[in-house]
Amino acid sequence: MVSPVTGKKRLLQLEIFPSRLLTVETAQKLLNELNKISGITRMVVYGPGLPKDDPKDLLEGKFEAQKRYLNILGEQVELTVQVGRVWVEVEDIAVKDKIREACEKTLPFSFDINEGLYLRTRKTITDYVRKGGNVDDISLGMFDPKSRRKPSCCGPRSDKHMDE
Amino acid sequence: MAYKAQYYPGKTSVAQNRKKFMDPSYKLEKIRSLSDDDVVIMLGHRAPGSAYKTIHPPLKEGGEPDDPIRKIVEPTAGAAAGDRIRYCQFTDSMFYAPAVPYLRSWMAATRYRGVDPGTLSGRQIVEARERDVEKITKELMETEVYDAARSGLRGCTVHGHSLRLNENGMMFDMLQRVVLDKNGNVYAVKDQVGDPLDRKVNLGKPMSDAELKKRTTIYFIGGVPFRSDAEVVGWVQRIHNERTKCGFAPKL
Repeated sequence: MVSPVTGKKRLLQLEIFPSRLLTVETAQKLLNELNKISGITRMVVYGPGLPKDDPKDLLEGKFEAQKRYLNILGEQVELTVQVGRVWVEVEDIAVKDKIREACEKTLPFSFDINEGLYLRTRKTITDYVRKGGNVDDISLGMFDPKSRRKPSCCGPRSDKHMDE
Repeated sequence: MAYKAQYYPGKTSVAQNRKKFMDPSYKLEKIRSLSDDDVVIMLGHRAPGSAYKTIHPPLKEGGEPDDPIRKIVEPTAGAAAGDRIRYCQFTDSMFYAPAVPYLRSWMAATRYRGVDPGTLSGRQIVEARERDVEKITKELMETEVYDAARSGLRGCTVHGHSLRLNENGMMFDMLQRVVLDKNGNVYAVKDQVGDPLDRKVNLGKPMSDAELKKRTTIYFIGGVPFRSDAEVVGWVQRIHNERTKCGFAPKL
């Protein structure tokens, strides 16, 4: 699609907005399905910070913080948020129907899919201040530049599975 | 004819519930039982069984100067004993929690003495003498004002009231002070500031959605919308109007 501000072509962005905050297991199922879809260029999971303890441990009287991981096509990626939204950049609007099917298959409650601009398309002052402008096109707008934690991501090599 | 306070305008179920909660002559319905020690450990201010710390001698021994007001007003138990000031703080989910922060403050003002309620958008704090706080908290947590899933006793990190619920219907809590077990009961595993408890406290089963919608005091589009209650809207508009006018022209 054409950006109304810059007049340049940019990819379409979608937001998956479930009516509940997802557990790690449901988020994993949803991402597994989304990863089977070709035509998705970038994806971000977003939400409030993930509680550090496992509820099952808490009931047993164990109070130890645990790291939780998502398995993205064999790559272990640390999950630091409780998934509340998934922002997806797609090549074509036709992918939206495939995403809807994936959501219907994995989410046990209602959801919305919105079209909009969720990932920045241009570098900002903050990018220059924090990164010296060394932000590549792939990671542009995908990470919170103010976050103290190291961002969790999986590299472009995960794309090799596409077009299944 | 003697004036009878109606406490809140409106005829919808939400307005009626608000009236009930604020009316001190209405006895709140008890839906769970907690021991005194349960409340003490969840508050986390003192160890169960330990003595109350004091900030002044008991009033009877204090030799206070003669004052007519002291003769009229009977001190609360905590004030009489000289307890220090402590607090309890509640968070209420926007998804049909039985209480809302402002209502909790109004309730504290109409139902209890010697309290200092404070309201924020998603949480409400009641400060009072320590043994009074324990008594108030016990009543608030045992009765219909509190739901195990949609209300929370949270001293810090209260974020969650305006978020979507977790998949299991619990209000989001970064510190996971309460946890839903497989048997359907909710257990408190941490005190109100997130420190681990020595034992878990059973808060019972959460209310069903239908029950919550019946008991809630939140105007919500999916339940009873605010605009559906003409009397409430009229009063809110009148108060807003008069406050604004008098704010600009105090002589009015």
